Amino acid sequence: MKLKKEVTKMIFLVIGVFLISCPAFVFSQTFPDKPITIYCGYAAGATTDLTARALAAGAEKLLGVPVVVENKPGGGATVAAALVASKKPDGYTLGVVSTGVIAVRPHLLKVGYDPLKDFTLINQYARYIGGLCVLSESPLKTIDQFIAYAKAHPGLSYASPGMYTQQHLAVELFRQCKGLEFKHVPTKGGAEANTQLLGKHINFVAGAGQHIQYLKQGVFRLLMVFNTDKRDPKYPDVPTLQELGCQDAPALGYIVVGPKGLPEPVAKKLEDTFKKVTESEEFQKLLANLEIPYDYKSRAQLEKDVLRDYELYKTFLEKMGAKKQG
Amino acid sequence: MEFFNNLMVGFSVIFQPLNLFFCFLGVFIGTLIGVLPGIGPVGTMAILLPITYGIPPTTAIILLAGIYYGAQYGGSTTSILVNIPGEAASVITCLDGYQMALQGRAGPALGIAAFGSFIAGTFSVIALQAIAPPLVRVALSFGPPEYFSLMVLGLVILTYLAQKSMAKALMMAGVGLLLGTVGLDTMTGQPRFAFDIPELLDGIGLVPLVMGLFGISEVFLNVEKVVQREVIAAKITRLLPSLQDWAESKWAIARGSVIGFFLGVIPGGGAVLGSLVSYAIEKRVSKNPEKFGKGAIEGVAAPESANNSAAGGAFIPLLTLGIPANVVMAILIGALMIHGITPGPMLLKEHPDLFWGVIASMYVGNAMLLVLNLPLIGLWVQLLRVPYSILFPLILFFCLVGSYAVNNSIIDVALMLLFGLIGYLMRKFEYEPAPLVLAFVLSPIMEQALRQSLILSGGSFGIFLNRPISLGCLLMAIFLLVLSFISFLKVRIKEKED
Repeated sequence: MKLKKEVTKMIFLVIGVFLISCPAFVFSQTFPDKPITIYCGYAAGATTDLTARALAAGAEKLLGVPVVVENKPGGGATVAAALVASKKPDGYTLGVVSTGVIAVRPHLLKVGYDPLKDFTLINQYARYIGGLCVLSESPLKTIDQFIAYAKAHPGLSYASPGMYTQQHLAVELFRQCKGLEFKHVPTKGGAEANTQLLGKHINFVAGAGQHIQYLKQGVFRLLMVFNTDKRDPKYPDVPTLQELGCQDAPALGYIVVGPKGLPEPVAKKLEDTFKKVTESEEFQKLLANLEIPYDYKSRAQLEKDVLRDYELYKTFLEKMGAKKQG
Repeated sequence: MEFFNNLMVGFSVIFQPLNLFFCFLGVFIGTLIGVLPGIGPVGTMAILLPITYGIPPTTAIILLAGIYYGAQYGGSTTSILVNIPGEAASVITCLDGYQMALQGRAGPALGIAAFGSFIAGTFSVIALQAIAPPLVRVALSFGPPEYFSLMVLGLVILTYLAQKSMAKALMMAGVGLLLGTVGLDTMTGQPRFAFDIPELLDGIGLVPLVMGLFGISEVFLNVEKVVQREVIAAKITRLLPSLQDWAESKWAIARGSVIGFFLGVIPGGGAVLGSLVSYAIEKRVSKNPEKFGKGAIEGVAAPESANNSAAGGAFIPLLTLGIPANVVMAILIGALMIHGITPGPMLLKEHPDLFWGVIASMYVGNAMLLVLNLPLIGLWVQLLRVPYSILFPLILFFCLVGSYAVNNSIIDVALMLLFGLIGYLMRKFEYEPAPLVLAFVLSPIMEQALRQSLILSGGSFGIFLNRPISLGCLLMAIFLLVLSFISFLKVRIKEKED
């Protein structure tokens, strides 16, 4: 019964989307007239990949051509970014990557592209978030208690989803700002970091998104949110890092990019299409299910913000003594 | 009583026609891709992911899980027939499986692999159902120091796999460890041995390595000896294991099932370690260990049982903690999250129909796989009759396509050909590829665990001795080393006396 309802709903949705997209067909005399490939900078099954596939499925309906997602994981999405940068700017090759490939990675690695010149930014549709969590059985109930405890017990250990990730940088800024001392255990990703806290091998975790499931289940307690200037409406009592009077590492975003020099009408058309997809009920539901905050940025806004983040991360990383290799 | 109630819930889910259909579809696709080298469960599941948007979450997981354990059945087929492991967990199966095929016993080898997989798969589902919650706690108690010591034990066990020279095996394990360090250093984010090739930032892929060392080098080697083929084909006598085969492998299957299951629960390398450890144990307990590597049926039965059992065990951290034990499990988590279901401690309470439905589907799926695979054995054995001039270009073709398909990367193809050449030289000089591949798989986990442990302890190695599980693993490793050294001395003394 349930399935039948689902199928009916889907059929209506498809018809609806088709009807809405009819005018779009009239406008697009030439672009697109062949399949579009989206290189995803992360492995299949990663949250970024899940959103990229939903984005492709939505765009396919609106554009009337197949939109194929190809996974090109590696180097913090820089492999996919370099690939996109090397392609012909015709709108048939796009990439779904993190703004980190522009704002962060080029400060650390020799990358195969010029972060500020080689891309046509299309838009941003979501962002990555972070939160400082302890086990809910911990006696520390607020960030003030935590800071006091950390002052009395220097060398608390924490796991982050990796070296120089926005979560690691935020905790590092927090540490410097409050004069604390931590041991940082980089892991291969959020899931591993959370597991280490579950097994009590570390004292707290700099969560990258997956920590939210443990908050919902009451296993973790959220003490502070970071990579954000707003409190999480679901946890209105938990302060942001900025509220504590510290600098925060800006949130990185999920973005769609193309090679530099994309013709204006094509870029505009893609921007409009992806905007429409990300605003759809279906896509919003996916983001909500994945616990990813929707954070739409237009092309103009994104171009401005990415440049700012590029400079900000440059200063942070230099201050931390991160050296560029290669 | 609860055990059966839960099972009833599960079976009421799986016997809905839609779920039954998708379960069959899953294991069928899984069998196919398991047999085709290079096209693994990861790629297939990723492609099928969008299809699962439109079907209920339980059905989606039943389909995807079917592909996964279906591929475990198929993975051994190419190991046995053409000496190319379908995946890391089937590397060990090559040692005796391929030898059996050369002796015209491909049928019994495939048969015992299928039966062993079925028995182990069913065992692991029962175990999963019965002891999942307490096992989670044990898995969580594995922190970085425990991982490191477990990996040390794993590497020591590798030395037991040496067919000829233990020193050469150790050297190959060392090369494997080194190859495993290529790529971005997860601890500092710096590239190592990447030579400015962006594709190398994520390390050398397992697929190009395995296909090169086993597949391509096999093609090179066999180009040299064309004539033998007809001899092999003529010797194929029976398709199914005989009573004697059963007698020889029944304990191997039992031990493999248990070992595989427990190692499978531990995230990372579980199935690989399981197949490795169970093979080593069979070789140890065997009355005639010299048979191993020359076509011992236990050497196929034990690791193939263990890796299937580990596939079941790997569901425990996924379903109960939401922790993916490998990439396949990460995709399963993705499929659940698309539907707004977060795998984790609350899954069992919030979605019992999903939890028990998926478990029941594994009972049914394992039975389907057995029915599906047994008649196929005849077909696979026929494949051995295909003349070299057709079979080897085909293998080469599948390897080229397969190595490209994983990351859509031409660098991977180049790497595979390079490892093919290296593998050819290694075989010529009697260096075995198996220890290299297995050390390669364990290397990143081991390095990370070591460095994380030392961060936690502030640089003191005492952390490995203070923690009981870690200490136990290390003591066991030392014990095994001493034991093998004594037997090495005994052989030497005997040689001298002679």
